[in-house]
Amino acid sequence: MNACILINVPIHMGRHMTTRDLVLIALFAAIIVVLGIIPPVTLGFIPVPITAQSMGVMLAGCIIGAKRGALAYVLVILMVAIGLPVLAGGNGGLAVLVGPTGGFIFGWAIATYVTGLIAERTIRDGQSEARQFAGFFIASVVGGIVVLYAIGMPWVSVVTGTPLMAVITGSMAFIPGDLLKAVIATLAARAVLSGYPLLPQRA
Amino acid sequence: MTLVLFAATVTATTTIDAFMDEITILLGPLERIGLLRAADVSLALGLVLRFVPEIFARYQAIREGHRARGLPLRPLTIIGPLIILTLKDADMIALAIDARGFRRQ
Repeated sequence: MNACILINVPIHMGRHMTTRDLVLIALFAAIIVVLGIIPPVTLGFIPVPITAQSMGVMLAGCIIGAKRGALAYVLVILMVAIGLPVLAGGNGGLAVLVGPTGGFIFGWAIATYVTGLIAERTIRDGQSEARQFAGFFIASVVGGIVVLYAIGMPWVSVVTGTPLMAVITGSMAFIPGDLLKAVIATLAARAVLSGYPLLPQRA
Repeated sequence: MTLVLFAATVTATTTIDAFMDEITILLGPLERIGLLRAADVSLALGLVLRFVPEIFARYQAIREGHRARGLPLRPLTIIGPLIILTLKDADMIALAIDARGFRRQ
């Protein structure tokens, strides 16, 4: 390890990050990377294949919460910048970050934060199952779809020079698939919440 | 697939210590302005590289399990167990890191 003296600066406001938080962030970043390796599943009734990695934002926010989820994505973005092929299809490198989809990649961290914030505020222990499903679904849709597209679409428009309206109408094709992903992420998040709850103890 | 091979190659050829030291040095300026602890970032990156092949192996095990039971491969029935099994290791890994005094606290 480095010989310089490590200053104990809190990595973010509030409580100092525990080693467990750090490990959870790293493990979730690793899960996001593995989700990019899993072959996409086609579902028949919608034309866009479901890539597991694009559910990562919703999953990270709903499962490990706002701060840890967002930091997991910061870690993934850092790996993209280093040039590791961590994105679905083995993509990576600085060129991807400044390309048309760069806004979506940076948007992941912010979208995860928003998803986590909503999930943390709405999900309580002892709530009815239906309320938890509703909370996770709203968090996934607002964070993983609304916020993500609000950042990603203007970026596409600026980088490619396409009018924003054209980008918005083009993106509409992905909305049904994204809603389905929100449903899957909701069910998975609820399964993890009942099997191994992490959201209540926030970082 | 490329990534699994790449991660495996890096893991096999570079010691994680060496890799982490490099990132600690690169992030030094950000640490000096108090933004983060460079050692934490490099530790986290080392952990990711270390666990990607392992989590992928776990995914394959879950897939085999589905096959053995004649279940169709659905994202939901794979992601749930994958995340629970992986995150359950967090406590043990955190204890191991603290036991070795990596974070000097």
